[in-house]
Amino acid sequence: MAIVSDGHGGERYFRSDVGSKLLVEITAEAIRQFMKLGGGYGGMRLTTSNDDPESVPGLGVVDHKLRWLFSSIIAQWNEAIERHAEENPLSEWELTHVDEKYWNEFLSAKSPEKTYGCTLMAFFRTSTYWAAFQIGDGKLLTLNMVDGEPVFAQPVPWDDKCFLNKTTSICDSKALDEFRYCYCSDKSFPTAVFLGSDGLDDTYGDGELLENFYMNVMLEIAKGKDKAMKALVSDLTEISKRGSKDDMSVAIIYDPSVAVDIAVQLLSYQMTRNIKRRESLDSKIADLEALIEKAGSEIGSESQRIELEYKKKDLVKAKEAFANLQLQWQRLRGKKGFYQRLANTQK
Amino acid sequence: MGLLDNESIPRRQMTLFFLIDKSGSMDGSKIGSVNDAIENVLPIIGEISDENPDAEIRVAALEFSTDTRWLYDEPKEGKDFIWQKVTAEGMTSLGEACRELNKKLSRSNGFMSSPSGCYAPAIILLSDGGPTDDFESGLAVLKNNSWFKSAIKIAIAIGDDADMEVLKQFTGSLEAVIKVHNIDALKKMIRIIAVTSSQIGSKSSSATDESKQKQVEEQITEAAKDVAGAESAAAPAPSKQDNYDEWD
Amino acid sequence: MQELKTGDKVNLTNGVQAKIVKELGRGGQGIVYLVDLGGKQMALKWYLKAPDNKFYKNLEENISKGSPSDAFLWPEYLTRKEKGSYGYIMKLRPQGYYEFGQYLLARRQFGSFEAMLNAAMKICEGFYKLHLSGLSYQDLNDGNFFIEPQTGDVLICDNDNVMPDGRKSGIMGKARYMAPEVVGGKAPDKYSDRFSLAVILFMLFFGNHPFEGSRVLACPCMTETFEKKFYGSEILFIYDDNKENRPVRGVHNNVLRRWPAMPKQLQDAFKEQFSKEILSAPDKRMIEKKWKGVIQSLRDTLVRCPKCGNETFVSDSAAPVCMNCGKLLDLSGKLVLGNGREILLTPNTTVYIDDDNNPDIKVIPVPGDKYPVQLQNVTKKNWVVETQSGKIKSIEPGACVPVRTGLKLSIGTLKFEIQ
Repeated sequence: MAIVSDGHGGERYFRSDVGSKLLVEITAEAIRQFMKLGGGYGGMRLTTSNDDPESVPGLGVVDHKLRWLFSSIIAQWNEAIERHAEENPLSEWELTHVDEKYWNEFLSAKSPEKTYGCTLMAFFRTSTYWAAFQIGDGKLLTLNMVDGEPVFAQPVPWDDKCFLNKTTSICDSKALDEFRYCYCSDKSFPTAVFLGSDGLDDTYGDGELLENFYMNVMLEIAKGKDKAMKALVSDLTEISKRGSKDDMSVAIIYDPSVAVDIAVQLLSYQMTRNIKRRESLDSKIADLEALIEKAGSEIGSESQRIELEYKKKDLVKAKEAFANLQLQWQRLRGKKGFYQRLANTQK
Repeated sequence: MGLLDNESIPRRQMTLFFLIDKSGSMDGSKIGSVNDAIENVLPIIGEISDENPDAEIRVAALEFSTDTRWLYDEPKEGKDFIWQKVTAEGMTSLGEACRELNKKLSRSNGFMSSPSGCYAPAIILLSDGGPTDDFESGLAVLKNNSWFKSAIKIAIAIGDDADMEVLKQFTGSLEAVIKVHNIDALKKMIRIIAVTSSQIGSKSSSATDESKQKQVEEQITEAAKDVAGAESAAAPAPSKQDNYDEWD
Repeated sequence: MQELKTGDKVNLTNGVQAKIVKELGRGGQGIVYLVDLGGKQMALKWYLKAPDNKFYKNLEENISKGSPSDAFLWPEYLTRKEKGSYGYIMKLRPQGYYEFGQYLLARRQFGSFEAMLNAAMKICEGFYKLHLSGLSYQDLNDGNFFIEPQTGDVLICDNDNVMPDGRKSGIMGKARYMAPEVVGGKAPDKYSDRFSLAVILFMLFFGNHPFEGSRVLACPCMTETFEKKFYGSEILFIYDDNKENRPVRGVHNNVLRRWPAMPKQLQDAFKEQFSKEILSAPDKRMIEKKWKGVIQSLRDTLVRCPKCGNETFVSDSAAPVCMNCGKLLDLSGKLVLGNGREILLTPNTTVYIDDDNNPDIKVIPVPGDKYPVQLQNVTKKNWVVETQSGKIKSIEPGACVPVRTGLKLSIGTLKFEIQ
């Protein structure tokens, strides 16, 4: 299993570090129990909390089982933070650093859940099924290799209530309703799974750049777990500085026995992609140059003049992009050599 | 090798929208000033964008009279934005402008990308009159838009004929509406509002609890005090004698 | 297993044929088809795996007995045993009725408290009539009820498990709705039905399960062993004096919000019914008639707040406070019955005198009139009013009586005084 919980930023949630730590521990134990007690349900293709239980046979059962698991996690987290709040009255530091209105909320509330608020994201698998669930933001990606090409997916449905810096949370009064999940028991398992807190997707977006980042992580993993851990610790710090400025947590599930093989495949894919992109840029540059040359000999209207200006700017950008791709090509070639040698020594 | 090479880290995006009323009553010095002011503020926004390592500011402009029209079919970087002079004629289809804005405040076929790695947009509405179409239903559509909900929204009311209630409904508060009474004030306020919204809008928000909307409102209200012929619509009305309006 | 297809014909025991039009839905036991029966559209429940002969016999008996009340979508005709199975015909479920489960998941909501109370009343009435005719339901759960959200009208489905009291249908229901003794292995009967009824009513009013709280949720996966414990041997009400099983923030949001807002008499009724003592003494469980009394007394205190226009229960008629706007509200008056029953009146409140779901009085505002609040007769019969000076007036359907202290109002056999 892999679990990430991200404590909310903001003064109001001044114990969200504790809240997220407790939540991860509770979730891990709850998942362990769930797997042991037979939480699975056989033969289902990938389905999600957005599907209609009445039209997907078996989903009603799965939905009930998973919702029970989530309910149990919420209930146990409530108890854990209440215990923590009781055993740990406001500290000197909290009293001086946290706005009065927030420690008043902590003191007066029937339950101190806001103070400990955090998100939750988890993936787990047994030999017969896998499931992933989430409340709040952060992105969970699965990777499958299809004919040597990486196919990324985000199988847990997104919740539009998580928007910009707003997120749903374990501390919401309707937390149970806000859990989203996916479930699959047809024995198709993802090659790798990545869970990243919102600090990452606020840096890379949730598209190709984020996928490139995780491909790079897979390349590091192929060199061995320790090296990958080291790279994550040092580079995430730097990425955060340059990107979202937010803290970042990443959890990954992978199969070490195929890591090097996958690294070679990923590099082959990236090289092919690089070639295709250069080809398309090549023809774009040619088209733009032809257009600019043609327009140069004609005196046009105001809007044609503006259009020409933009064409020129586009041309500069296209040329820059092409040069970058050429540099990238060199790097990819070097890397691929490295991983091929690694693969050969392993054999 | 490492996690950092191969790909550069993109800057977060913030889009600044201008919604410009170019109905017939804007003809003459008003629309001229708007053209002049926006054209001049674009390079400044470009600078703010270039100097900000975290965010890139893009600009989009929608003009509306009887019909609506986007100046470009995609947002452009401030420094790259070539202003096209807007000419005034026709009615004030603000409701239609709301619908049009709603379409573009979207990821599919719109101007926005993934909310991950984005800042909320800033929207500046300029108008000198009241809507002549079904504004209510247009605004109702827009108000359900998540981007619009989280956007910084400021309106500039040009002259005494501007419908303050409508502008208040659009921005959500009277504090976000600035009244201008002369050409000079109009130009200055466009510049102040565009710059302030860009600066605050493209800043990481976790540092403070106060909403960006409130911060912009406070700063421009403060700045308006130094601009003759401009004031926050929420401020008490100036006495009659002082109320010189060259558009009377 | 034999599914039917469009155009297939099945033979009924009365010699008539039903023609399959299309499938309407399917569940664990069987498929429901739309059928044409001599030009009339009906529903056929067709078993995927034919239950035993005893089951067939029981259906036959129920059909000849007929429906206990109009709350049931009762089996009306039986098919012959053919095509490897059999089934029965019932009326189609009309449009606009939604499964009770939809209300629990907040996908549907009642239009008003009035509608919610109507639904509760209708369910009680149905079970009252069912038990009166010597039958018990046996398999009561949230999938059996279909409710119209605006009127609160109820249809009870899946009546094929209904058996004479004490006989075991052999089909096990959902443990969540079973009486603890049935979870423990006893055959279901009218007493266990009464437990299930109380659970259903609780869920209707409060939107969560009465026995699922923090203690039950300590376990992340509900197994049969745990079910036997939490719904059987160690069952514990979430608002029991023993606080170990309280509702959980973030999960049981409905009951956490509604429990404090609902009248104390309702809280007390459930506290008593779900107390350790009554849980272990099936014959002491509240009978349907008494539940109807509880619902009626809730109705008597349900009024529309003249200030905010929302419905509110008034727990103290001496100091009536609206539970929505929190303000003191003006009661226009009340109807007082000899036995101490009091019905509170405000403009736009609907009054139910008896325990059916037909309104009897509409309290209407008549602005500008000497009596600005009046009671309109919305029954089909005349009322009789006696004034303080002894004059007798007859009030026809549609006509009004002013809310004036001292008037004596007779509706049917009941004699009220307006105060």
